[in-house]
Amino acid sequence: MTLDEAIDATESWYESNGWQVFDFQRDAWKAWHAGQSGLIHSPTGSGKTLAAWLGPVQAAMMSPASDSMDGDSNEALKVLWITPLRALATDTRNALEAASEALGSSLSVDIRTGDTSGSRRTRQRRRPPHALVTTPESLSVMLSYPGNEIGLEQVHTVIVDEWHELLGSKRGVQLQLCLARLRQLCGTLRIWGVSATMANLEQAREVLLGPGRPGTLIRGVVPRSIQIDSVLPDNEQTFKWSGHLGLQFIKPVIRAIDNAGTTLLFTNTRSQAEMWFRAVLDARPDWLDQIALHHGSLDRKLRMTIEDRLRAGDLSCVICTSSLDLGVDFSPVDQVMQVGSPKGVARLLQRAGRSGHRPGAQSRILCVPGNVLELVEIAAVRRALSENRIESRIPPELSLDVLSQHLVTIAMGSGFIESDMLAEVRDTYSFRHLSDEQWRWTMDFIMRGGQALQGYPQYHKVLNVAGRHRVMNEQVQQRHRMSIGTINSDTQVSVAFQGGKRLGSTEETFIARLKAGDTFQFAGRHLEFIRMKDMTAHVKKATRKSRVVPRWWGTHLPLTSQLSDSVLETLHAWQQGEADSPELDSIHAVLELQQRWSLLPGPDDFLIESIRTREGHSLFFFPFAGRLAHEGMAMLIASRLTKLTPSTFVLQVNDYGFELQSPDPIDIDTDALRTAFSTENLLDDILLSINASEITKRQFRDIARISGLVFDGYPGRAKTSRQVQASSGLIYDVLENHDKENLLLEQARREVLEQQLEFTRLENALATLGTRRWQQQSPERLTPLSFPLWAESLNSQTISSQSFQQRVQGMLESLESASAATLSTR
Amino acid sequence: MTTFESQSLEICCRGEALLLHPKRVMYWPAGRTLFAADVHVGKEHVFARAGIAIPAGVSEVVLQELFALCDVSGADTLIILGDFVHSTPLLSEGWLSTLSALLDDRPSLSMKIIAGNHDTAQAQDLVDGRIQWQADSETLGPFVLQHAPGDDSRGYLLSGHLHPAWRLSSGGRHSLRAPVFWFRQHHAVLPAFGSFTGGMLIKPDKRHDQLYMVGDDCVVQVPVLTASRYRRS
Repeated sequence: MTLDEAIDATESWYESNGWQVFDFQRDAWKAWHAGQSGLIHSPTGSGKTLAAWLGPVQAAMMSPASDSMDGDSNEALKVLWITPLRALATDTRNALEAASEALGSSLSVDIRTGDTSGSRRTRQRRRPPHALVTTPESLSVMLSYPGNEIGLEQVHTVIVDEWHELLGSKRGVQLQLCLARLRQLCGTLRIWGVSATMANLEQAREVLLGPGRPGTLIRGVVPRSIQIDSVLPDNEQTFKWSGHLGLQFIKPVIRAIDNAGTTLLFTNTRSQAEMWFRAVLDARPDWLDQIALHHGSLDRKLRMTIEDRLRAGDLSCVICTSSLDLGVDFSPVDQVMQVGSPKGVARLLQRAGRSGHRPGAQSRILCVPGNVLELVEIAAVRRALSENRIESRIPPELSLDVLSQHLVTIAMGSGFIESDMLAEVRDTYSFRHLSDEQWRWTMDFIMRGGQALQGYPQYHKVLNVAGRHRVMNEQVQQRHRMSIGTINSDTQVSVAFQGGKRLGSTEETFIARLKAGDTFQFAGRHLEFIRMKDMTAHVKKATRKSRVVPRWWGTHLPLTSQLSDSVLETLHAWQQGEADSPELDSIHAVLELQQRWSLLPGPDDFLIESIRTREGHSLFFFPFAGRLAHEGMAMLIASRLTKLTPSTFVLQVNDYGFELQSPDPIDIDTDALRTAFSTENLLDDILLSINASEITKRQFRDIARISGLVFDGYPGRAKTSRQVQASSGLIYDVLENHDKENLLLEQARREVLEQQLEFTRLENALATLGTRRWQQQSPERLTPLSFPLWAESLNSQTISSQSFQQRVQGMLESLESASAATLSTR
Repeated sequence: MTTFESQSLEICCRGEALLLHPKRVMYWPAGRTLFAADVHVGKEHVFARAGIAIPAGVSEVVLQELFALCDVSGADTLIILGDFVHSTPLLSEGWLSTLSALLDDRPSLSMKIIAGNHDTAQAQDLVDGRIQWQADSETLGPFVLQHAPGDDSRGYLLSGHLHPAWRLSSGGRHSLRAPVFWFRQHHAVLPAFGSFTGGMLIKPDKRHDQLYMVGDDCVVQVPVLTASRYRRS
């Protein structure tokens, strides 16, 4: 069969299904046959999978000799399909296999993830499939075996699905390194990415293919228009100024679910999903069989059942988190709801794209605000979208923790020669600027444990064996493979019924707070905690209801800068009488209240409110630079102010601004404030204020785990490794005191600067603030803008220049006055 | 008054004066005895053996600090309330000779360890022979010394083991976490001395317990109050 014949056969297969071949799909196939690499981007669910997959399938159709001869080179792995979520692997395999079979190609497809059984792995080793669906972690594990487990040398194509999900994360960095390895290992390699829409597509392609490598960008179907609606408050007086629930909208939500065929209701956090599921069920107990809960901490089997039922059109509503952002199309979905602010334009776009897959249907999303400000955000998203302003995904650079992990991986597998490996590593986007010094340090870290393990030759991980770097120690190998999957994971505890049925997992810190008999909500049920055993929390059905919902770590999404800029513009437009949005109209009175009590800031204002509250004295600043930049700014300003007078501040941030709260009156004039906001000595001052702060330690947790400094133990064997368990905070302190030069500490600080605090954004924001009108207000009470900050109680940080004794004294005094007040009101 | 005394908080326990020092040791002037608990020397080597790169030298610094405290307090006797070592050491571990050298410099100081759960029999054989080991508990004046806390009819029990820490909260958002000396009705728990050791939040009894929080440069008594009652609602 010739290429033309294969493409003809493909087109007639499309026709027989009643589908139409899109031009971009044809372009992608041709580019693949021409030996090119590239990136295909388009909104969700528009034939990207087949665009990427059918090139290799057509090639197999053209050379169908594979089955006839034994031991032929066709009996080898040819295509790797990388998926970011192992939960997607089965669906993906089925879709790929169906297309391959229907077209009569002999390409076999199999799966290999952390869930794949030992016997299946053995079978894959004996008789490799032609195509393998796998995750970045499993690919890494394959590279850690000599001979790469099932032989990767004949792979001619790697397809990375949902590349936008990996691009901005360390898992993406891990994949970049694995792809660089494959480029060396395989003779000719085509790399293809499949991605949703984002602002920096050119960069996304370069990161995927390697710096300076050519490749095509193929644009999929033009985005459909999206209609954004909101549930609006009937009576704004009862509308909450802060909080995250919006459960007061349960009635209109129930009505909307009732009026649609199948609804996906997205929440921003797993806790919210649990709460909404209960709320819907409490309102409509008769819906028990037709609504479901879906989030990343539920057991995989449970989730798969729900996905199957969703596809079958068996459910009227699934309440979910980002766990359903990705994945194979769920065609029956005809309504999408978003509870709370979507926090970003791209995110809303992706979620809205989950509906209306039927031809000609428009994507619609119904937003359910949790508070006044979220209504402003919804209006702002619409504004940004109409101007086509979508966020970028920025790839992390020079993540030495990931590099250390990868080098040990390769040393365990084929081993490596140092000079070759350095060239290979620099052939990735994230390490293209790796300095000789950073390379030497990383090699020293994996070979001698850096400064720390000098003089303990027997414990070195990587050895130089006749010029080749290898790992010889069996125990090190075993532990390393366990830790490969740990990028992005916290210590998780299984939740299971006593009979053994597994419900899912939650963080250890949550379970640690429970006593036997305590009840909580999980997996949509009320559960009673019985005991903790072997990393499993045993539970039973509770007889009484509970309001307690687990909190999962890292569930706080920052507002993107695109969106927060748009918020300021939207407020300004409203003031000018130009905003034409039902959301703003509905909260007219609240915005006017802000204006009357204080001031409603526009793009040229910098609002500062100083308010006395029951707890003390607070300064509220509103730079509108996004949560992350505010966190850095709050620490910077607080530490600069504490230098002026001995004082203690508790910091609170949100997407609009930050609060400095002090038990004593804050007596600072505008000049001093302006100095505190200056960009002079910015980098030094901020490094000083974040050093050894909570935020740096938080960032160090991940680094310590990935680079192997913290070892969580083998699953189910937690006790045996207790002697080598220490919190990453403790390790951070020890390194601070005894190994200051440790580059992982520096990496933690750098990551805090760049990722956690968005240093560039912070610097720009400070510069901009200098040119704005400083509007210092002293309202009598909390305003609509400051109230949400005051009410926030998560992750507060303390910065103090007072001595331990002064602080204790101050706290004791306020405790005494508080207890006196309590007594007098009795 | 010596610097050590001025830095310490003096309390009275069973009629005896005790000095609580911010370096997490306790001095009993009448017995000229310095107490410390949970030193966990050699912990970084246990990590190193597992291939986890914790810098060497942590233990040496901890030991030097401990013996310097003996000098400034004027103690004749140093008593460790258990868990002096983290695990059985290898002979190559540098702190073993540091310990011997520190003892060489102080011929008049006697050092005793009440064995804790980490102090293996092999460890007891490997460390300097001048150190006296006590297997479970013993009495000393009005006190009973033992690694794990508990009540004892022979006297007021001094112990370690728990690495106690406390979070002081003022009801607002201000809170402060630090190690504590935890004095209960019939026993006391000392904070862990080692720098490479974590802390455990304790649940004190409001009626009978005294808490002394350890700051950078002072020890302060704090009331056993959980501020949750005063939280804004």
